[in-house]
Amino acid sequence: MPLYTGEQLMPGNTGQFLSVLSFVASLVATISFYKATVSKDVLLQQSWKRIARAAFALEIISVIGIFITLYYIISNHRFEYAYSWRHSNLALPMQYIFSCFWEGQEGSFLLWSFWHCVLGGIIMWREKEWEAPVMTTISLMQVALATMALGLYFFDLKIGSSPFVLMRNEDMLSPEQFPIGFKDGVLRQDYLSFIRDGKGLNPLLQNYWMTIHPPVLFLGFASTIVPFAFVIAALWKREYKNWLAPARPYALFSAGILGLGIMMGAAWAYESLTFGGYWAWDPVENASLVPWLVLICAIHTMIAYKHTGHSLKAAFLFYILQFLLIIYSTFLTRSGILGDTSVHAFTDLGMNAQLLAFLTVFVVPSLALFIVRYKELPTIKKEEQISSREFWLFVGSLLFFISALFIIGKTSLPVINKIFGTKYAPAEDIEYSYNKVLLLFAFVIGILTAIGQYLKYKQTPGKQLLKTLLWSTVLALIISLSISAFGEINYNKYGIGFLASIHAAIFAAVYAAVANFLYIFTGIKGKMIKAGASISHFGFGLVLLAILISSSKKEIISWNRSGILVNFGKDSKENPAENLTLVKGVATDMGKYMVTYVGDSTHPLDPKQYFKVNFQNKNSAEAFTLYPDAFVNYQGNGQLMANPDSKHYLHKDVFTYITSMPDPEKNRDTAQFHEKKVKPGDTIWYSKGFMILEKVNGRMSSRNNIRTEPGDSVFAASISIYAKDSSQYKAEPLLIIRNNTLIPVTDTVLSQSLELGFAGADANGIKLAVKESNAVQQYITLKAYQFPAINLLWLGIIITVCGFMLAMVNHIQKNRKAGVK
Amino acid sequence: MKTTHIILLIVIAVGIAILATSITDASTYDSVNSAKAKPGKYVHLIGKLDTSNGRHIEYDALKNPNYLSFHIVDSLGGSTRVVYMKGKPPTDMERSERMVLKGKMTDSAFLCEDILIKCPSKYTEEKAKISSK
Repeated sequence: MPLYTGEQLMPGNTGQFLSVLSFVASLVATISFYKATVSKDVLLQQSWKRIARAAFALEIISVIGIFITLYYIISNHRFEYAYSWRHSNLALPMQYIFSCFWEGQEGSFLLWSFWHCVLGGIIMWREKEWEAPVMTTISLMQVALATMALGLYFFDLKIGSSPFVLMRNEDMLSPEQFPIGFKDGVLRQDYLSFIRDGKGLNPLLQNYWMTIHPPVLFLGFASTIVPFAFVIAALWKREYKNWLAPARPYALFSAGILGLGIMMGAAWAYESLTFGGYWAWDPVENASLVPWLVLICAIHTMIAYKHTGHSLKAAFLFYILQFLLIIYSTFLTRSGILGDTSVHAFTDLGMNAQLLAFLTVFVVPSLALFIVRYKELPTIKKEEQISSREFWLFVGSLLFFISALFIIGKTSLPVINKIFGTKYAPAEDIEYSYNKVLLLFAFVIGILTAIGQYLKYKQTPGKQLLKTLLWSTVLALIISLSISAFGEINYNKYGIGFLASIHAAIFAAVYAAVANFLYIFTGIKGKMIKAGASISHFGFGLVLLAILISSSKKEIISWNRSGILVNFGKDSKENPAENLTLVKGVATDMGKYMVTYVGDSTHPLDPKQYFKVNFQNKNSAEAFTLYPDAFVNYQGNGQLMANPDSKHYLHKDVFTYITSMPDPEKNRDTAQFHEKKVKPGDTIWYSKGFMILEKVNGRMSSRNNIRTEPGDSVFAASISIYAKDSSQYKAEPLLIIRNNTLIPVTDTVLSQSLELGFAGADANGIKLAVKESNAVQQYITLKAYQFPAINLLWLGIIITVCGFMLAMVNHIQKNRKAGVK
Repeated sequence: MKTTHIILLIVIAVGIAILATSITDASTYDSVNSAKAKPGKYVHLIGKLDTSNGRHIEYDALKNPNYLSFHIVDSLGGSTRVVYMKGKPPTDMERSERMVLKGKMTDSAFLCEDILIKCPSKYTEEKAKISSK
């Protein structure tokens, strides 16, 4: 008999049990795989391995079990569970149930853990020789992740945060906040029937990207452990050569998927959030980019080692660091330490000590192992030739690594402040502070990417290099010079030096793309299975080019040329005035478009409100309608949460989103008429311009819709209105005299919020009543951007990822052939 | 000397140069009063919305969608008017427990370039929002 009616305690208990089971199973797996690695006796090895495999299988089962249990709780809206109440509600469409799942920290750790299970399963199945040492590391990681979702108390220390806790056990129900659920200060037996609905998923996350981006990103995160585990195993077992072939496909897979996951986040930010772009150097973005950069360094130095025996130490160090940086970024983004510098509001779950322990458990032993083994690592005494490929692979990796250090160093400012008690804040112009440095790196990296594959290992004859590179160089020069000449790239915000660097980097990016594209045909003679590297480098060149063009040619088209421009003296040049107000039905001048807010619509099953905005090009027939949408007053929070809409062209996007709209509650007309005595020819000022009384006509009105009766005397004041934005309007308030009574008929100018009345007349002129209303209108405020080359960016990313996957397939096949021999 | 060593030295030099430039880039966190002591310098202020004495958030999209004005008070009691020329009040501004403002102090007001809102922690917010319709 349950204590409270309606509660289902079974799923929570099952989930909690499985969490503990997962912790124990992964712990047993770690110890057994460790024993299997260190045992000298083959029979003992075999039996430890059997135990370890069984334990890891149990781990896989329990993680999947936790997944199913949590899914059951969320999809059945069991609001007695805090996780379900926090992250879902009844109105949530089915496709977002998974999004609720990983909105919380607990669910995202679970997702991460799930991918380790999948990868661990593949390794146990495929990697015979390396299974035990590699799986030791992965199982240890599973132990660490399992503790994150444990939610148990050891004395006063809380370990992890469980997704299976009940609301009533979490102090979330109290008599003050939830009076209806209490009787005499005690929680009612049927309290659950008063919790009608959950808090729901953050509306900004109700988006299909939220369904697909986290699984891909976490697969990327999870997969970085595999090459790391191989490297640790190699150091541990002192086998410095054999690890390379089996680890290589995993490393390539990881680089492809992690890159894809990061850029899916960028696409999400671009398409459905109102950050006004795809990348903002936000700490959370940086924290996932940096491990990727270091992983790329690791792959390149590993290739140099494979072919020449050079750069082994660097490859080991990079593989270790890329994974440690993944854990470090987890610490950064989940500990709440970035609170003051990031727009992504991560809440502190009170697990900082545990996160720090998580970091230490992997940082200290792996670096210690590297240092202990450092002297033993085989090196080649002979110096690399400057004309050799391995030399430039090393230099390129080093440059990539410095750029990674630069990014993570800047991102870690809050950590530095915490440790040293300093008060450094991010730079004034965050994007520029990154771009000005990384632009130079982009230039060098682009050139190296172009020529890298044309260099030979050991030594490259100079003449041969010039000959093979000739066509790519000429073609790249032609293309990049025409982009520079006709592309109208004149981004002069930071002076001529920066602009010159942009043009130089554009050449480097084009060179990288062209040279690698041609290499597919000249270098490897069109054998596509071998073209993975060339294809991904080609894609990388396109990505660089797209970033340069889209960033330097991004244009705000909603410059506000109307309204009051408040003057701030010398600072007035900093007034960006990027928001434009559109009054319903009034075409407004916005750059090369006339824009009209036509109306809005809602749908009973969709909490969003859609705004219909027409764009008409002033100089051509180009016309389109965009439907930016927004959650208006979602769950009574009085806020506007907007999603943008874009018109996609092949070469650019026109991108717009709503920034504000009137609050119907506050939108009551409180303004008063003010009477002014004027004569024809007089000027009257109002807040947005002025008006002139042209003349007063008797018995003449151009307003046909005003009904008059025979015998009426009609006087019309014809008024011209000149607004500050140089638009002109006509208004004609009337005064009708009927049977000795005065009937004033007002006239309104909607876009200027003006209401004019003809209040009376005498020999000296007329009395004009002017009201500047603050309520009569329906309007929206929006921002609009023009983004060129955005499609080139997405194309470049897809090509790069395809290149990585092709290279992975190629190396799996090679390994298989080698295994058969 | 091996070429790798030379390269490493160059790399270290470049690294130090970059580090030096980014430190000169870096701004600081200031209180209202210390920001007033250095007008025109780019700083970060941390404070909360000041609604005492009838002060309120001024924003009217019809008059000017790019003009927002409000007052903040910091933990030391320093108070200033803030002018933001980039748009509407950020989401949840009224409910925020603290905000980070980036910009420059001028004679009349703190000219703000960017507002970062910190909401009450999820925990307390949840307590407040359990309701029974």
